[in-house]
Amino acid sequence: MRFFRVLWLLGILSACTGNALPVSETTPYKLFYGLTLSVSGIDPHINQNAELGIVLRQVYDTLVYRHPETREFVPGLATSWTISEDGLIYTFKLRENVTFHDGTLFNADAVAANLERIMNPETASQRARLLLGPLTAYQVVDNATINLILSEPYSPLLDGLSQVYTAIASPKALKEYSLLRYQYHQVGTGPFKFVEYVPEDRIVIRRNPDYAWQPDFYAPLAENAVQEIEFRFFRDPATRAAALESGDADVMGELLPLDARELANNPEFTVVPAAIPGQPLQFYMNTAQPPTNNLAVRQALIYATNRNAIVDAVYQGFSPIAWGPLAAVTPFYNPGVVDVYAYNLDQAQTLLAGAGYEDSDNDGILDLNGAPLEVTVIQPAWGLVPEVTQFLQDQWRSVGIRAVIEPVPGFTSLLEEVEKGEYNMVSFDAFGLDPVVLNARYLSSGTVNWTGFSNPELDNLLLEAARQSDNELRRVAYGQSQAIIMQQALILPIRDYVNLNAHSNRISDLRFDPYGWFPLLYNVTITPDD
Amino acid sequence: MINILRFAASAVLTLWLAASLTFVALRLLPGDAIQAQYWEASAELQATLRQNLHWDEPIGVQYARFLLALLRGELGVSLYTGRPVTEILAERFLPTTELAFWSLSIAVVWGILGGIIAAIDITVISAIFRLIIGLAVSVPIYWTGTLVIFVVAIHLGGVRENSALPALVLGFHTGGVIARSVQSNIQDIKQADFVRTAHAKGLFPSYIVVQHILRVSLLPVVHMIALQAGFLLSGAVITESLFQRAGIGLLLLDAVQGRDYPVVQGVVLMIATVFILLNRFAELLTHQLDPRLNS
Repeated sequence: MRFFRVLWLLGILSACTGNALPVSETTPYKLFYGLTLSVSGIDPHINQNAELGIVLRQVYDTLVYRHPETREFVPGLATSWTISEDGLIYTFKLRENVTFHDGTLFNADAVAANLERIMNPETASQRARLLLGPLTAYQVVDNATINLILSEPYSPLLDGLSQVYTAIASPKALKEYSLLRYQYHQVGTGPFKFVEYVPEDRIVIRRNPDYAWQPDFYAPLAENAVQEIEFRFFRDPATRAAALESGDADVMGELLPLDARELANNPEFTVVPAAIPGQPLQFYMNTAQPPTNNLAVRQALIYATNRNAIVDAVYQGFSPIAWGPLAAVTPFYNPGVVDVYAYNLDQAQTLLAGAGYEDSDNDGILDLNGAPLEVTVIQPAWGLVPEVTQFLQDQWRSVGIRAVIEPVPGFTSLLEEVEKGEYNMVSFDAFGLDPVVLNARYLSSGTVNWTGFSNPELDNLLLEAARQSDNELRRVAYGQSQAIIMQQALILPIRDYVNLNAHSNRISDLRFDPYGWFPLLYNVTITPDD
Repeated sequence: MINILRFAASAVLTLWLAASLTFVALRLLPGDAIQAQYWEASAELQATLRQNLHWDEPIGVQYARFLLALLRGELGVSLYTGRPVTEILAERFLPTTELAFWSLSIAVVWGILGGIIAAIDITVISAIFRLIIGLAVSVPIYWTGTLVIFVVAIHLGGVRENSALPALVLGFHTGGVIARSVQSNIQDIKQADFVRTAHAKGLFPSYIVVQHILRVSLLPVVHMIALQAGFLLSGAVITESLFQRAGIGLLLLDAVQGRDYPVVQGVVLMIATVFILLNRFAELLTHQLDPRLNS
């Protein structure tokens, strides 16, 4: 009797663990795409993660696109645009006969509804609002014309409008669903329709048969073009290659370099490295904290770093060495920074000796007035940074610099450490095609000025570069900015980012947009399994 | 009736303590979820967002607001996803229950058998089992977990799909504690007078073990097993993060790292509730099995 009661209790427990898998309708042209982070949200206007862009680039169109190869601005939902003489009014002529996935007609009012949503403080946009810069108002001229009005000239606006974060969503759907619920019911005009989003599990999109307004860079659709895409999350980098090999995913991004090297030798897979424009992997140097307040120390730290060794060992040679504050694939990159701080131990030692450092107590670490030459490095856990700092620690020791590593497990704790201000170096970086990413980081008043550097000349150049619409003038201003940043040795650049993607050879024609993170899946074809 | 009332009162008190301690601990941690998501935005926007969450009010007022919401049964929404905490908990509850159930099953079988074998002295085998039990008790879970992932990933691949592995790892450690207690119980009782009497009566040794020793020595183990819930839950945090299983443990870890106050609160309250219920369950179960306790 007692025994049965125990059994019964156990029975309740086990009944709680039952699990039923949902059955979904399938097509032989279904693609499984591995995402690398489980995202907190995928509303393009609200959230800021790159994963949402991987999915939603296929669901939405933007007013303009950037050509994947030339990186020029090309028509999207806007067929043409003009910029007023003073740079304050952008006039967009809109494409006609475009419909959203819910049948709503696309027009100037639809664009207005989206701008309104992004600009509304209630939306609490994490990225989209920043991309619109000093946009203050808009004006619907007619059904197919809209003016965007700025409070000051801001040439990165077009770049902002080409990004998926400013995607144009159906005004009907935006109205129908609350700010929080919209992400589960997204409606765009793009080549794929949004089917479902199950947090932590999957996002599914399906081919939009009515799509006829694609940008010019897409090829005509092949017979075996992919019809349905299911995105799945693979948070743990170590499991990503295994998921590809076991067929759980057909495409995977952010592979570990060693895994990518192995897959490259496997005839069943193709590795597609995508260069990421914007900032390289780098360490900001805090100019407000000794000893990195001393220019000679900052320069010596760069000279004493053997980047070749790091890129070879940690990144398996997949990444170009970084020399300046912008990756080489970024527009307006200044190639003048190359080799300026080439690995040179003598130079590092000379600089440190010149600054008065010597090893007076013979412990292998230099000192000045009794204080050892010690730099504190905040080390995030991602992007193989811990492996990199291992190398830095060893390399710097050989010139008598001691590195104290301050590991942080997540972004919140990184921000806390930065806030304390007691660091000498911190690794962080932002991506993007427009060098305007530099502004918030190097302007004296920048919201994320982690070098603590303040210089009116640099301020003027950066502000001018954002205001100026002439590309050659922008090139000059950003070129000089990059030069100043490196003359002042404000960062230790390590390597340009390369997203290591790989896909199974049952799919082909995978390519990436010029931001590097976001695939263009319109033309991807698939050979169905038998 | 009085028993139930007493239980309810102590349960409420425990929950209140858990909620309050978490409330204080979270606010002592530096950094917050707004900063983590809007770090590039202007200070004004950050201030507005904090204001919307009433974080500009005195801490006492915030605490009162929090308790009132709790009384109404409101756990709030995640500061990251905006989803109701109850919805998130419901979603994450199953994987963890599943993990806990299988781990506990493995732990009970291996703990009891292992403990018996280790205790009854069959020379080398018992010594080996004592060693393994020692490992299970003293080696941290993440060590075994990493080792298992390493070995399996190299030889089999597909660690993520394999849901038996985390249960095995967690079950191994949980079972260690059970085995240790079974072992020492048996060893104690082996010295007891009635066992000596049984031997003196000339009873067959294996009959003595099963009928006399095991019956008595396994009783306290039942309570012990139910109490392993706490170990299982803390073990789940580590196991789930190692094996990247989207359960309560990983949820708690992510929420603490991201300072997602409502989610942390929700998980803590849920764990506390489960803990209280399991304790009660263990009590009832021991009373069922051992009528002596009812008198």
